[in-house]
Amino acid sequence: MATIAADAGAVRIAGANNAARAAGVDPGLSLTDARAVVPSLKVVEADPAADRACLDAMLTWARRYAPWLAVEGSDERGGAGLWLDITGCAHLFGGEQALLEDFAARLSRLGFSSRLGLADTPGAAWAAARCLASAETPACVPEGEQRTHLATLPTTALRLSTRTLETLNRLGVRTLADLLVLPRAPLTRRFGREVCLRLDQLLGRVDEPLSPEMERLPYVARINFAEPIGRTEDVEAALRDLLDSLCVRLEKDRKGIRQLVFEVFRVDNTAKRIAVGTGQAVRRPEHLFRLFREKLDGLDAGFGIEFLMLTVTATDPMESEQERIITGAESKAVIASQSGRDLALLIDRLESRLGSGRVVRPQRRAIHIPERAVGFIPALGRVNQTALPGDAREAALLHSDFGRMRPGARPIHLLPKPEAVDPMPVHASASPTRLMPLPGFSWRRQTYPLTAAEGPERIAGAWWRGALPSDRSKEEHSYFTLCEDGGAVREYWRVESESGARFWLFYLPFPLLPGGTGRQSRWFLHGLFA
Amino acid sequence: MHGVSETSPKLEALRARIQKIEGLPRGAEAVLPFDLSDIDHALPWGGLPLACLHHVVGEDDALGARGFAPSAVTFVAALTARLKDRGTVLWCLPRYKAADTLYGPALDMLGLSEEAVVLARAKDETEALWAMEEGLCCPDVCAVIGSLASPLSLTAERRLQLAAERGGTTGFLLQPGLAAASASAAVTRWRVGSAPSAVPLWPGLGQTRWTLTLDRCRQGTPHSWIVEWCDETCTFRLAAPLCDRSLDPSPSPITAQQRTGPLRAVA
Repeated sequence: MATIAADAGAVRIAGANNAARAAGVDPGLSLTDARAVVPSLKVVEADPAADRACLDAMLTWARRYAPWLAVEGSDERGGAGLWLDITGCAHLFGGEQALLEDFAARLSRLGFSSRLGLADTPGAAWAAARCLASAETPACVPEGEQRTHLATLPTTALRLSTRTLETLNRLGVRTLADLLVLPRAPLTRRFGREVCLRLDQLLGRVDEPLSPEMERLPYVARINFAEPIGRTEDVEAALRDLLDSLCVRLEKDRKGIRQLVFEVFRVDNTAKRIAVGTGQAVRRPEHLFRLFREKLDGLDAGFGIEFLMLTVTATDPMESEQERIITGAESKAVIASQSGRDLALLIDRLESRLGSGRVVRPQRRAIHIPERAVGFIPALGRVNQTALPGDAREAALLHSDFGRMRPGARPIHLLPKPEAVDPMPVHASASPTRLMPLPGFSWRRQTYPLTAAEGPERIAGAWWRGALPSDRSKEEHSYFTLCEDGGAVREYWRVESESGARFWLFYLPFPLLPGGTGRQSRWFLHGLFA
Repeated sequence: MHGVSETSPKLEALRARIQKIEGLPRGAEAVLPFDLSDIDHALPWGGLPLACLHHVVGEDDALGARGFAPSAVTFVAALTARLKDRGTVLWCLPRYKAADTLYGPALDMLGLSEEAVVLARAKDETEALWAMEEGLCCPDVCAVIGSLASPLSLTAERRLQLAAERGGTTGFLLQPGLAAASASAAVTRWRVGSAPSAVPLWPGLGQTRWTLTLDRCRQGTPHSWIVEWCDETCTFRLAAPLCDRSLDPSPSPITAQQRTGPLRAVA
């Protein structure tokens, strides 16, 4: 099996496993050639990112041996690897040889084949791992003996570029011993500093520092108590400390908290978990503390709390900011940059206590049917980003002059579902001069005689959304569903009762169900005006 | 009594001290005028004082019993719409049935555009009160409206009043039904109910009318007005019977009549 990568127009072998190498497939060979050698060669696309991720994971694992670690990037000559500076660490594992064996054994148990080299200098270790060691036996170069041990190695043991290696090869310089006897001045003139530098690095004449990968610690803070605590005040004080320490670290890394989990571990080995989320990245300890305080109220300490742990589970990049509001002579710019932030924090707090989806903004939808004309979006979402779906054809109308409603044409309260009302019988003496669709109605066991009315405003359903499904036959809720699906026409009236209260009534000019049975009111109350 | 003149510095200092204790704002920017001289004069501050708590009760008896107070809601929404340049309006709704029927397009028509309002739907009144208090302390919020079904305890009202003073935010407590007049920490208490509108000169409905009662007012006296609400301009004006008799009738129908006069004569 081999991995392939496209290189300057040709597909070449990037890496090969032992079986492939044994059959003669070496990295650098073109895929066509490799197929000619081993027709049954299985190839997969090389994935440098995954390789790197794997090496990073391995680096984290290798921290058990030494604290000073680095990943060596992949290149065309020897593939990637890990550097471990085990200075002062070997005795913990019973000596260098024992450490190497332990390392190899653990790696093979994890399913990796490895070649390990150990020497005084990184260069020598690199050479030993690539040219001396095998998968079974790690190579250990004794202290101060690079010259004697490594002299027989080929020049490929030096980290030189392919071109330099080819030239050396043509000149007949095959081993390090050949190179070591050559005078340095002509070498430098011929190849630049490269060859001498690598030799010196191998022999330890030049220092080669490793730039270690710093350990990326998760954002976790923890407090242990010598004596179990139980008072909420103590927990709050500890939580403040934890938040402070985390926020300082996040500030350094330019990150803000989006999600945070607070865990309370009690002495009886039970734990309580409190999670909070924020709408924006936050790094203010007092704000985060307030989010928790709402939830700490009912905290049951049981037999006492042993330790507390605070874990950041989601972060967002966040630039450093002015952490304190300037008081006194505030400049307008400062206020402008900060306005809205307090609101965002307030919304976070409200959401954390009231529950998600409880803090909303109303938003118009491009739908003309009254009960569907407004929807709710989360209060922190940007209006443009979370525009509610509507009818594209109505959207244009809504924003035009034509679609603008007359002020006062819509009620302040809209009943979630229109309620059927009983119309009062028409009197013979009703004034013919006033425009009155009905003399009065009763709703929720209260009669409202009417004195004035205005209308009708005819609102048809969205008829273009298709015909009514024929299986709708329940009279009780049909008017609602019918209108949504594009059927019923409603005639809306604004009416005023004797006491001055105003109502939004509608009348169904066409009976919903032609063959409907029983007395079905065709008047409905839909809203209340001021 | 006569020994102390009205402008005595001692008296002025005392007044200022009382004002400070009462925690009421001074100065024109801390007041929302109604732009109606009658009402503004009835209020000792020349308008509705900001950064304190106001109590608005619905007076529609039949509707109030069903949890609705459309006039009071509109009154409060119209007042806060004038404040919205100063920040967001937080509307706290406990989850009782009638509260959650606020209709967005109508708020929009009152001048409370959708971006200006944040609705907080609370589980119960305790949560709603908590949300109100949090909102009152937030500098980005200009007004907090709490729709409540039942009257509050004096302590709860006091807490809200203190929060409003601290945060510089105006709070409105909205209640559908009229509870028995009790002690209150709010600076003013209003009763708003619908009143029969004047018969217009055209077919249809006349301008909406409310009975607006200033029930309680710190340092002030109760008053009652009938105001007319104008949908087009989102403003109040005093209804005709309370104004001077010289209130002009709406001019448009008259000009129409005048125009038809000569035409008929020609025919």
